[in-house]
Amino acid sequence: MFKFSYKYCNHIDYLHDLAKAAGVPVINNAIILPKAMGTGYIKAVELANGLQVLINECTTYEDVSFHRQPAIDESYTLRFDEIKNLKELTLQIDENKLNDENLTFSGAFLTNSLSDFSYTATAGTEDRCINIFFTAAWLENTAGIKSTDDVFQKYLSLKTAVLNFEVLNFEYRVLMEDIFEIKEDQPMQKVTIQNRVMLLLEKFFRSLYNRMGDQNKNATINDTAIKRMMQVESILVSNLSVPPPTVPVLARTAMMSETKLKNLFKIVYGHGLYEYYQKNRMLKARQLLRTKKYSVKETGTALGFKNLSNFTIAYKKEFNVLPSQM
Amino acid sequence: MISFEINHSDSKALLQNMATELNITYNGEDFIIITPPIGNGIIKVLTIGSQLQVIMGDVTFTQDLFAKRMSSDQRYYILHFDDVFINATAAFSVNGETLHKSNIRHSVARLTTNAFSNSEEISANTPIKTIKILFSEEWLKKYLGLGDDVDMLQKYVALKTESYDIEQLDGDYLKLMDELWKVKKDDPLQNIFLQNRVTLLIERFFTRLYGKMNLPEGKFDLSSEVIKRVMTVEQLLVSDFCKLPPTIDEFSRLVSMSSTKLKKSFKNMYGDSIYSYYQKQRLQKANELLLGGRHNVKQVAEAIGYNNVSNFTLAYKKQYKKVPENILSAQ
Repeated sequence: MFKFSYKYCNHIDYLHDLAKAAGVPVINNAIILPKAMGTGYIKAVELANGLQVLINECTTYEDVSFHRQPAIDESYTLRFDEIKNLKELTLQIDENKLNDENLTFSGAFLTNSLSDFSYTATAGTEDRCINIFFTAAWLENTAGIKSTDDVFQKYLSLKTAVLNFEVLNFEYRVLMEDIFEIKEDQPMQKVTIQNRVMLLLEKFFRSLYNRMGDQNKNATINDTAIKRMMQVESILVSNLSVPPPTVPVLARTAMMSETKLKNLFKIVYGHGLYEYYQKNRMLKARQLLRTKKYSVKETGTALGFKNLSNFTIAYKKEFNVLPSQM
Repeated sequence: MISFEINHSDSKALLQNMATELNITYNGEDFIIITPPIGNGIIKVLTIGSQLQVIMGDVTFTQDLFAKRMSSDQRYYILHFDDVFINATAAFSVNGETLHKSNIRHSVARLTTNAFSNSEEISANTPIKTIKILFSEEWLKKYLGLGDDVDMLQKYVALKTESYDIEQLDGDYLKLMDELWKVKKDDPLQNIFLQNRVTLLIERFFTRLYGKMNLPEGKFDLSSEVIKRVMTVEQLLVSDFCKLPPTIDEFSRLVSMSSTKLKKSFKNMYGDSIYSYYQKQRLQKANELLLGGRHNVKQVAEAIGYNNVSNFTLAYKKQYKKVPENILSAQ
């Protein structure tokens, strides 16, 4: 098991410390995982507006455990995680623990550097994460959000922030994909990263204010129901080249009636079941097309379209451009 | 005639000056409201961080408007997003070069610098929607990560009036512009919301500018000469909808360009092929006439060159998802 315990100051220093512990060099503020540990990269990006972002796409070969010791100065990290192939994931903030036995975890949560935080995942886990670091002063001066705000404090004081995470819906994913897909030689890449990161922040806080402000709405969906929705969501997007399981099948998985499933899913993810599947399919298509390795025909076929013009129409509906114009 | 002399050093002073010229009282807010008989609408200023200033207007004046920006030593850039329904005439000047436009929806994004003097003359009763974002050269260089490589910028800015028609406002631009007006006073996230919309406008403009200015050699040469010729074609295309426009072959002879190159360049600048641009513009004209309420459907159809009313109705429905009769009966 790879264990790493650290005191947090900022992403760049963190990356250097981690590199030392893993025995790999830091090149251009990025590291490649050593072969024994897994595959993938971790990179730190410093943005013009003062934000630091840690971006990683890694698959581990051994169990990993990260432990962040409480800091003296207050700062925040907002992380967006998309974790797959889990056997077991443990997230802990101070004495509050989330032990997830689902196969996937896709959520966002905010932590405060004053608290103790740990993350433990089993070997074989695939984690794609965008982690934004900022101070209270930055948040107030640049984003105009006061960390003394009721809503903000209420969220942090719950401390069960891990148990109170924000589900990653399609809109979050599009923003995250934009960040993951950025190429080093692309003009204006920093601008693109910065703007996507700012939109992630805006979206997260918007949803936080909505949820915290409206207790009634919050009360209708309990943690178990959200977990089941996440399970349904992961099944829905697990294989985008075959038709998704039918609603009755999904309802049995979620152990609830079809009507309840459909309503809940729409509340949590903002789209109907099939619509959500289709949107993710198009996102995958864009990902494939952007690699420039596949033709429109190959992409359409890979996503299970027998009729190419159906693919073109669906794509245009989602992104407003034809796949051939990519 | 209303005459604004614009100096962008301080946004509140700018509003004060405008209020004085319009003879209305200014109470130090970040907006002024324009009411009859001068016109209708609002002009507003925003400051984003310490680096960006935004002036936004949604206004119609009942008199001719003349706005002039002086050149000055302290170099800054202004990114304009203008959506102006020119129903009479308008003239745009950059350092002595003048571009005249009439009878068209002038809906473009463009970048100017105060290294040149700029002026705009817009006739009375023209609905103007505009967002202007101001920033220094240092800010832009840092933001775009340009270092000292400002080639692309200089190439673009040197186009002066030819730069006017390079970037048309499409639905995505208009949506962002619209959202800037929709922010609520009591929204705790208004700051980040406004900031994100403004930076997305900037990002979109420069990403597309890069795309257009840096196409692989031979694919599309955006030289000042090509732009001038394509703009000539555009002016002819929309000058009179009553009669059929010249054919592409006629155009290509007229401006001495091959038809392939003309078609490609036109699409690159205006975002639509020659015919679909023509079609959009004339239906736009039809829409204005219908909204004016002084013409029946047949008259409108004829005014934009349709002899057959049902063909017109179909075309109109395709663009506006409504039949023209509904527009008339709604009034």
